[in-house]
Amino acid sequence: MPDLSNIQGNTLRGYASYTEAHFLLLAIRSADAGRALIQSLVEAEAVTPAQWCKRPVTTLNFAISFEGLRALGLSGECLGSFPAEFQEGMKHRARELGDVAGSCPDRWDEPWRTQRVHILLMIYASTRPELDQQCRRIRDLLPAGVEELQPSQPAGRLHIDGAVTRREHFGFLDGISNPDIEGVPADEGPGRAQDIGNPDGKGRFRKIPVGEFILGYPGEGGELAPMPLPHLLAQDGSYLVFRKLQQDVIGFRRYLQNQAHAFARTLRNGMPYGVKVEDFLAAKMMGRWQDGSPLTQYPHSQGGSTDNNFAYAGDPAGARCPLGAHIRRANPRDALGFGGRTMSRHRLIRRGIAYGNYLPPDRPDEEDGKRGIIFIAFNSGFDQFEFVQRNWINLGDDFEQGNDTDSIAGSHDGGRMTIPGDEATGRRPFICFDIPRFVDTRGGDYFFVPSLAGLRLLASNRIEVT
Amino acid sequence: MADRARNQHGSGKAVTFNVLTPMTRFGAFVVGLLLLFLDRVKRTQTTAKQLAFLPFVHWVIVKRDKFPRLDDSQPAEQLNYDYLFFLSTFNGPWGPYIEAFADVLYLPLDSVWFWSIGYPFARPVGPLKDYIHRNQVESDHSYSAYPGASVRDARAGIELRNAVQSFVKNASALSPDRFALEFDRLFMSVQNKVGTFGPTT
Amino acid sequence: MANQNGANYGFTGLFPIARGQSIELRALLRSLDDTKAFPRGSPFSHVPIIHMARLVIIDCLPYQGTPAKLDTLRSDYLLFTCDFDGSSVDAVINAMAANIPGPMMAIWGNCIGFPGIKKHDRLSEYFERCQLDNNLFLVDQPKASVDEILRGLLCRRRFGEFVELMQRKPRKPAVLKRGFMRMWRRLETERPLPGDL
Repeated sequence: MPDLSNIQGNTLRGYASYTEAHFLLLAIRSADAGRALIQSLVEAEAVTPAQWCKRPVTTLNFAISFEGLRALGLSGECLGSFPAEFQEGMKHRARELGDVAGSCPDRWDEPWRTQRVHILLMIYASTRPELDQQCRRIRDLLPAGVEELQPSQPAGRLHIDGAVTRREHFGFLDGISNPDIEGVPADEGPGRAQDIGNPDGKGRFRKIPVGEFILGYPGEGGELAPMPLPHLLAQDGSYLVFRKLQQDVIGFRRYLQNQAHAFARTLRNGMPYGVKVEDFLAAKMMGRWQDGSPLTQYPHSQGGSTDNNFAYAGDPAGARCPLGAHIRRANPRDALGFGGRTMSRHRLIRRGIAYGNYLPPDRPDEEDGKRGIIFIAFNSGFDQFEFVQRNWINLGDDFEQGNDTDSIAGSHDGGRMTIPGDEATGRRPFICFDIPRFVDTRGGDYFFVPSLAGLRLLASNRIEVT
Repeated sequence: MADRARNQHGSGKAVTFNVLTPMTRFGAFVVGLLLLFLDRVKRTQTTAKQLAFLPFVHWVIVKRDKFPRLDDSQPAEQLNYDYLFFLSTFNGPWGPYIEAFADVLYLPLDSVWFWSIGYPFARPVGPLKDYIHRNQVESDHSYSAYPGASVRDARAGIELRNAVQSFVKNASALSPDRFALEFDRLFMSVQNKVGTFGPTT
Repeated sequence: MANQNGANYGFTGLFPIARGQSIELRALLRSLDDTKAFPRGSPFSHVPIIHMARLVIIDCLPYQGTPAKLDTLRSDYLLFTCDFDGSSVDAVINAMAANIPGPMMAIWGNCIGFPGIKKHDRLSEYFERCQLDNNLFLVDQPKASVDEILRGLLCRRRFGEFVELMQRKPRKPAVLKRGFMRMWRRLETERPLPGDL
């Protein structure tokens, strides 16, 4: 059973009811000051654990990069025990991750472009005033010797037509699907995500061992992910992938409009009543309709359901959900065969949140395209994220799609995607050509999320690897 | 890297992987029988092919007195062990492929490598990866005649060409309208075989 | 012994390297993928029947730690694996001697007992003496030659290009048919070279 009082929050269960967020990006200029900051957060019991008795008004979570650990003065043995990818940092892995051309680190936003972020403070709240007040309180705590890098990063659920939604900027309902983890009480309440496990080899899904996401517990294959030293620092910690992903909403909508006519020609009987061709094409690229209903269950029109308990066995050629659709790449479920044994080590917890204002269709863009998603993923080793990014998002081989990348999230310049036809309806196959890159990286890094005990150890300056 | 085939357009999808492991005489004898068995009984090979990332693999037992000696000036080897040479190619770096072996084919893997000195069993996979690091030899040169093609790419190309060839044979005499219908049918039958391929920069 | 699988032969050989030549040989081997000299990635790209090949200098054997014993090699060896279309070693030796005599001399000239490439029967004998039989040889496409795989890949590319053309602008069936048959005829004359794709 994972120790939810020691593990930080927003990992095993998301902050579904906190709709506003702010990310403070800090640099440690003196090791003492860095430790003093952590100590004051610990003393104030400010850092939110994964489980609480009373729902806090705001939440605060702490993550630290490799350079941050170094700036705190950790020893060489301790630093050297962290994974290679974490030591390098995300910027140096740009080529592996497809952060090239328009997404290369030279094009990133500040402070990511020229600075190294040491500490990431993640603040969530249910209202803007509560969020602002907590930000002020935290900023007041910052000692001289810990510098806040500018600009900080606001984020929050999109307001569309006057209502707060869980949609992201391309219009798709987001945060529907996350891993179903052993030992974690299910989220309660209406409209909560339906978590999905890994295939059990018998057509259903089983829970995923918590060690895939939290250090110190067995993961898939019955093993512990490599842990940094000392043990107290590592236990109940996790690794966080933080990526600021800018979304080209105008480009996405334009592409759909440009392709609509040609795509419509493949539909022998035309579209079902009330369904726009662009929406159908967008759904084919994503694997879900914009309301979150999966194509596998609702192949002809959206179904108003986010039922997440589906498999791909009944759709081997992708007639309903294309083999290269985004959700089928991000979580292939049973699509790769072998009872799920070749996909089970590659799951990620995702806690993304939008930034920037929603752009209504046919309105001028007053923000010059500065909107997107703060992609946040948790794993117990960065090889999990990097595998998904390199082998499933930026390559299609496992899905019989050759080098074709994810049409929505992939790194490509003139990408391609095959939308298989459907013998049942007579819809002919269609290939999307010259797909521009819709999502560009604008910043981010790899972070370590210590447990609360790990935080106390970091504050203490008593870390030794003997 | 010399273990990765490439061409002027970029890095290929053929990465050579060489692991040499020592065995006792008895171990080598047992492995010889096991490999003979695996050669005759195709079930493991079928599963390995379903994994779809092995274009060519050589398993070679090199007995301690069988290192080629061509000339008296070349001293005879005096070794304590026989060796199993495992010479494979993957579509990329070996980590995820070894995990797939450990998750799907651990029984044949363990049966064959159990007899190698120091082999830690396939699961958990961490010690197996350490074992491989210790016993791996990097290639000094790797070549593929189709570096931009993975196993699936090559298969899809062959199948697609066969389908097109068949189509041309049967449909070339059809009226244009019937041809167009048959073309649609052809496209549907090969729709998941037309992805782009090639070396990556 | 498992050297043959379908139409493919898997050669594995260990060639003792002349004393003192390993360092130079390794530098040479590591330069063979210089795409200025060999744009298709290797001198082997000039030998049309070879699917895949590798060259590895084996100068030490792995040590497992106590109580295992340490094995020390008295000679260095050049490990050469080569998967090609054919049913005997002669096929690949003749093809290499004919197409890449220079690189062959440069590589194997560092090895003990190499007889040169002028006399093919002595060359064959030399390779056979250094050959190790495979105990197991797995091949994904045992029936496919290099040429068939390359032509399949090219067909895949051209088919995709054809679909793009037809999709951009719908064509009348007669135009579709003419265009397809033209594409196919052109494809039949295209001969992609090994290492190109």
